[in-house]
Amino acid sequence: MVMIETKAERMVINMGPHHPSMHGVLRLIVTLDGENVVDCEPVLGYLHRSMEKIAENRTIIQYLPYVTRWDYLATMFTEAITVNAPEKLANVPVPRRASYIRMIMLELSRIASHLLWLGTFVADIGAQTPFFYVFREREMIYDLFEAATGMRMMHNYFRIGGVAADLPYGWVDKCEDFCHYFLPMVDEYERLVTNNPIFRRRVEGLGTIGREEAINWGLSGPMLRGSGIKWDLRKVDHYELYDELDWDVQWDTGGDCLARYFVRVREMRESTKMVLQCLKQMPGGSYENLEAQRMQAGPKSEWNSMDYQFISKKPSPTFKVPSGEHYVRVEAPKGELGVYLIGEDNVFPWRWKIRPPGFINLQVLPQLVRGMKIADIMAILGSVDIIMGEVDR
Amino acid sequence: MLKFLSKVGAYAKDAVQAAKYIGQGMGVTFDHMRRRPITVQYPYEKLIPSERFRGRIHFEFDKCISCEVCVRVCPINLPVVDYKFNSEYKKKELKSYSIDFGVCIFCGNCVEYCPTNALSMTEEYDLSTYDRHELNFDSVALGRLPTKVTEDPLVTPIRELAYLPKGAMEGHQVDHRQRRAGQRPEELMAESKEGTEA
Ligand code: SF4
Ligand code: SF4
Repeated sequence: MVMIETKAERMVINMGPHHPSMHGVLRLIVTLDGENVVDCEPVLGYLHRSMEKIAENRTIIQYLPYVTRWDYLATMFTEAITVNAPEKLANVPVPRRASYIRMIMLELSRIASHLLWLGTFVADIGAQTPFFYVFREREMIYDLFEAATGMRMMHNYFRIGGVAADLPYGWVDKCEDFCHYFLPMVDEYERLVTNNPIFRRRVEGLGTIGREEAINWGLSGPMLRGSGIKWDLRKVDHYELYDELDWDVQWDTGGDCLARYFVRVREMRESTKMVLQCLKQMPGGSYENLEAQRMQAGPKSEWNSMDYQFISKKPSPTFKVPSGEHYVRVEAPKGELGVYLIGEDNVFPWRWKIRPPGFINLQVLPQLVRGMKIADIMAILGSVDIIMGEVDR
Repeated sequence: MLKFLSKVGAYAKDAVQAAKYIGQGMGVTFDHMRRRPITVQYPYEKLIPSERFRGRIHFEFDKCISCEVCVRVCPINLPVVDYKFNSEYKKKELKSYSIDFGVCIFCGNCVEYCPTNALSMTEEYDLSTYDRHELNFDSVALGRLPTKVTEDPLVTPIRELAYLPKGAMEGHQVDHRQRRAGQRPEELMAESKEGTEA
């Protein structure tokens, strides 16, 4: 009897590294059984620029312009960690005003990163329009960044002991304007995406990862919070002055792509609220107000005290990293961004190990896509939110 | 039969739900009919770079004391400071200075740390050339100033968000000469004085 062979051979195909919906240059070797994914192996290293080795022969000041090239969508965070590490090692104080400026910048950067994530994520699923909508708001954040730092993406704004310069005139007003403008815009995205039946069918129950597993894989950020764990380093580590703000950790229990979507959208709203609070509570208020108070009170005024400075002391080009070692981390939009720093009382750090959130979160991808359809790979990869710049460094 | 009917009912409900939510999304889409485009038509309209914008570097030859601090703080030791020690005056004499903008990343470290403010950053950002060696600027080229967007008759200047008046969200809708957000410190002082006197 003649049998019709229904079981096809397994096929190994190669996705990327220059796939349009690959986030950067990631290559996936996918083993397929028909349309089902049997296995998937990510191949990294196409964007490797030896960032860690470069750090070993640069002073911190020289190295600062490099770091925005790790995660080029959440640039403020890479700068924050680069100054936090030597700051904590050398016990450099940060004025309160500087800390508030930093928090504003960090939260704006988080919004920008989540916005772009939203755009690419739904574009991966097949909805192109929101991509252009999110760029509209992201552009505004970058306008604000450009006014304060001089560049849209490669800011070079954070310094050891504070920030490079105070906010320009009118910046606080415009930032407030932006926050009030932005919240209805998030509603707009949600109206566009959240309940869209096509979107729901594509992401609901897709790429589920449980609570235990998420911890065991070492995930962080929205990946972890989407799996029902209330873990946010801003609350856990109490860095900067996040304790003075009134905010909640955003989390969800679904563990699937949809949960991660919810976590990120809610985080955008929460960050906007935090920015508004920061703008109100900032010591000295807007820069024009601070100036006015200083002019009025003369050179000996309290407005010249440490709290109201944007930097404690300008770091000298020969700032020495003291001997000692430690690990510093911040909650970046993609997860825990850390630096393990070993200094030996030299201008150059002896070792500068970066713990990028994308790299650690990416390792769970093969497990998530196993057994799924090939079209789901893009949706799951999109929901993991990786940036190859920081995965490869 | 009942089972079948309830199935049909559920299906119909699903379809209605789907139609509703898609309609909601379409509402957002059609809402854009009454909004103005926000894109900047580049060669005809240009954004005014911010005051702190870090564009091509401007260099003043006479101010430079050849201290080479700019070289030391640059991530790639880029500026080339060519000087000779004049033993008669016991001073360094600058012979030439150059920065290759094909390599520079416009981080602004050199500008920030130059002790004599010989370096500054201009608002020039369109540096494209056919040959990358043309981007290696010597001290003469570094001393040139770019044309301002606001003074170019062929270009409509548009301001960025941070420089618009309070409440305005879009650069197309406001004249670029209109006053930007934020009061001057002097005005704030005058206001608070009035407050205390009254
Ligand atoms: S830091 Fe300034 S003064 Fe010193 S060499 Fe460079 S440009 Fe000249
Ligand atoms: S802007 Fe940065 S990269 Fe360019 S010359 Fe100055 S320090 Fe070097």
